[in-house]
Amino acid sequence: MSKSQFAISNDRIVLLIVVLAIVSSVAAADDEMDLLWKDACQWEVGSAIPSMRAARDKLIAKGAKSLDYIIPGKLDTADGLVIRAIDEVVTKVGGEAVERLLPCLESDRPNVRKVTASLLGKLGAKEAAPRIAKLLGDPDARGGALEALGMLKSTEAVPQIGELLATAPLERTKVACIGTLALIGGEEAEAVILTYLSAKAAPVRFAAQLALEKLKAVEPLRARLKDEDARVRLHAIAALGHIGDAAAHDDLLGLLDSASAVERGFAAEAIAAMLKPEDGERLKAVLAKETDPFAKGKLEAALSPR
Amino acid sequence: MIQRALLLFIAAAGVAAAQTPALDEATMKRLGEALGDVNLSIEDLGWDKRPINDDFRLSCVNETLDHPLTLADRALRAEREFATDPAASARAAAAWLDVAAIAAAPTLDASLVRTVGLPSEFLGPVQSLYHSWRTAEALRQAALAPLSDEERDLVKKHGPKLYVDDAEEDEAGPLLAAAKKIDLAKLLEAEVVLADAAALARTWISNLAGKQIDSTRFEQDGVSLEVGGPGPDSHSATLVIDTGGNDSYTGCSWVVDLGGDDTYRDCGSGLLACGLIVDLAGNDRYLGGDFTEGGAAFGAALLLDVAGDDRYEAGQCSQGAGVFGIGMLFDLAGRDAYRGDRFVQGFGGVRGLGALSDVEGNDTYYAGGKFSHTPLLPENFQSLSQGFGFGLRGANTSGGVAILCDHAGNDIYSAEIFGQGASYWFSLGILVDSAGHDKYDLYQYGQGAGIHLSAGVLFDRAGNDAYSCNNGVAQGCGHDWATGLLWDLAGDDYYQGSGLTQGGANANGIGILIDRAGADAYSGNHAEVEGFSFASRDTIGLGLMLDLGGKDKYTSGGKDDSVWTKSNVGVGLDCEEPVEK
Repeated sequence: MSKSQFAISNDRIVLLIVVLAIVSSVAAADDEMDLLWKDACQWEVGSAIPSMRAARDKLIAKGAKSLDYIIPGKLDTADGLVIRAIDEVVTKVGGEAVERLLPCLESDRPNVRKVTASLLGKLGAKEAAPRIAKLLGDPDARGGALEALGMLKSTEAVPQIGELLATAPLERTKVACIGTLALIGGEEAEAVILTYLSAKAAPVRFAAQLALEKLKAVEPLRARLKDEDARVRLHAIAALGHIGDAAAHDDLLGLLDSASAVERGFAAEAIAAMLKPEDGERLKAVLAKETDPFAKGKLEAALSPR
Repeated sequence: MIQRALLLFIAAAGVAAAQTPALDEATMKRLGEALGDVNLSIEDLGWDKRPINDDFRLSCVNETLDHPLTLADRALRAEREFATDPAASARAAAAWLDVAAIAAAPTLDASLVRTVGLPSEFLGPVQSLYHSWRTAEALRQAALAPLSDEERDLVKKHGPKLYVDDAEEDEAGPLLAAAKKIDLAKLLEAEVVLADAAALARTWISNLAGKQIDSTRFEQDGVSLEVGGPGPDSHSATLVIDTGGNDSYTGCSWVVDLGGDDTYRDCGSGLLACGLIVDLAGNDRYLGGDFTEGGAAFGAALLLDVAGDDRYEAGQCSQGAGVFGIGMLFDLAGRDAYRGDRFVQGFGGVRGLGALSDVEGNDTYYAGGKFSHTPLLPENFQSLSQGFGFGLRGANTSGGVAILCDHAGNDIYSAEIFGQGASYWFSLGILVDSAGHDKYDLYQYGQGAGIHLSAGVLFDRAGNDAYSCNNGVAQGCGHDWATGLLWDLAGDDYYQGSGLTQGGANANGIGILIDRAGADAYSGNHAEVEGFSFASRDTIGLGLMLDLGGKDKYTSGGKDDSVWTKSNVGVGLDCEEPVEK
């Protein structure tokens, strides 16, 4: 065999070196991204904070390169710490994130669909709302969809969310639906929420109360003060007290004469949030004849100077 | 005489407890009232706290999450079932681990061929010990029989690191998939064999204690056996019987020691083995690393110390600890001191039950000081002990059952982070103290607390007790879809808490403190005490405290003879409800 058979031209050697250099620099960059990502996904507590913060800041500064790294490669996760890192980096980079995320709503991986929906909500991608709403029928991804639709204040989705609320077997799904409706707001959402003040499961009833407080639904709540369900009445009293709107003042004052000691106590606490100077005498008179320790405590608290 | 009377009293209390509901009528009535004052009922406590499932979940965990008041029933049951009789406890453990029934131990042909001229009175005990050891080992191997050779290798290689090496949890998938096939009933049968062997060994004291014999060592089928006399001996054989003297044991698997102040180093390990120590008398010292002193993983272990003031020191997964298996420590008398790094003094890991029962004496328990709780609290140390159940959150795997029962004496419990009737991730932790004026000291997470979808109870039956926690999530606390109960039946008690304590909850948990009687004092330096909860995930948690007797003092919102509500859904009720004798 002649020596020439093994000869390689100088051009080829240069080309080989360039290719090797590119491959090794890409590998080094990948390694760098992996290391940054590992630090970025740390729990945001105690001694981990400085390295977590530095890593996330670097990833945010890398902009589109970080989006390439995260979408879709890192979206297939249910790990809360990883999701928090994704949220911060992607939402702060912004830019083309929405465009890159939209196809991920149809991913065959449930975690990807869920995380994507949530991210689109956080990015304020209103145009994505109809596609996100389709995920309400997807048990694996609906959590992310509900989160997003709330953040996007998607009023169009209220009927679908109401339907899910009525049919979902799990308490936590119902609670999430109510939370989403509270974020969306509006009369239609409010009307749906109101019906759940009488839900059997306590977390659902209380979710409805908290939602109505958030929506400051004073008039519908005042109407519930005469509901035949004692629990609904108590939720309404508590919510009105937390809202503190004086429009409910007289209704609540009337409840100081309720036959139910718990209701009297709830009313006294609610009135304390909207106290008028002239209420003092009335409260004192009620307190004078009150024997129930709970109602008594609430009346005393209402009368005590803050 | 006094000791016997005390034991009879404890036994009677146990029987009485068995015949009555855990919480008396007055407590239930007041609970209902307090809940009514925040628009809830007792039935409402059953809200869903189990958003996920896995293949390792125990029914007692689901039960105590679904019905938090059953924590009180579980505490009474633990007190009754983990007392003075290891054999009864081993059998009772089956139900806690969802094992339907334990079969009788198989009959093995395990006769000793060589007895090297042992005196006749030793022949029976040596034969019996060897036979029991062979039987227990056969059962342990049968427990692993459903696994393939590769799976058994995986368990042998990685099993010992699960829990003791923090890095292992993230890579635990294949190991857990293999370990799921372990036949837990066989390991429970092995534990019964250990307990029966211990019971039998106790009968040898009348014939053999102090009996003169020259120390003898021999082997049978590759197993070393030693018999020691009343002098000071150093033993290192697999199986040992010693009639007395201040002896030293190193790395022995099964030991029966009839007397003397002895020192044990790394003996009775239940790691991929069956380990047994029976010490009938003397002030003994137990020194061990991981999986010793009644610590088992993929195996079974029992330590029974009948008398004397003893000192126990260990690393991890020891002093009544079980992971894929059962580990128990019984100390029947004396002033004892227990010290360990973490996962000790009643610890239950995945498919495991760990129990420590100390029957008499003024005892001290300490766990911690070695493993930093980095990154959250790098200056503090993890304990994960003293009735602590622990699942593997990173591997979405439920944990087991942990029981620490101290039946008498003025005891001191000290732990740092995670401990004292508590659990983390779909587990159950129980601490019961039946008598005496006790002190409970904790840095964070415990004293009747469930942490992240988990359940824990601390039950103190009597005495003027003091509970202290520096940094919350303690003293009847449910943290993140979890349930926690601190239940103190009697005495003038003092509760000091910082952060979420004394009936507190967050992230949809339920935390309850019930103090049934006595003039008590509650103090806290944050508002989140004395019946407090945070709203989370768009809905509620519940923090509830009841004080049903005595003239009580409060610093943070509570008031004697009154009802108060706080925060999202937090409620306290203080009243006088006489205790029916």
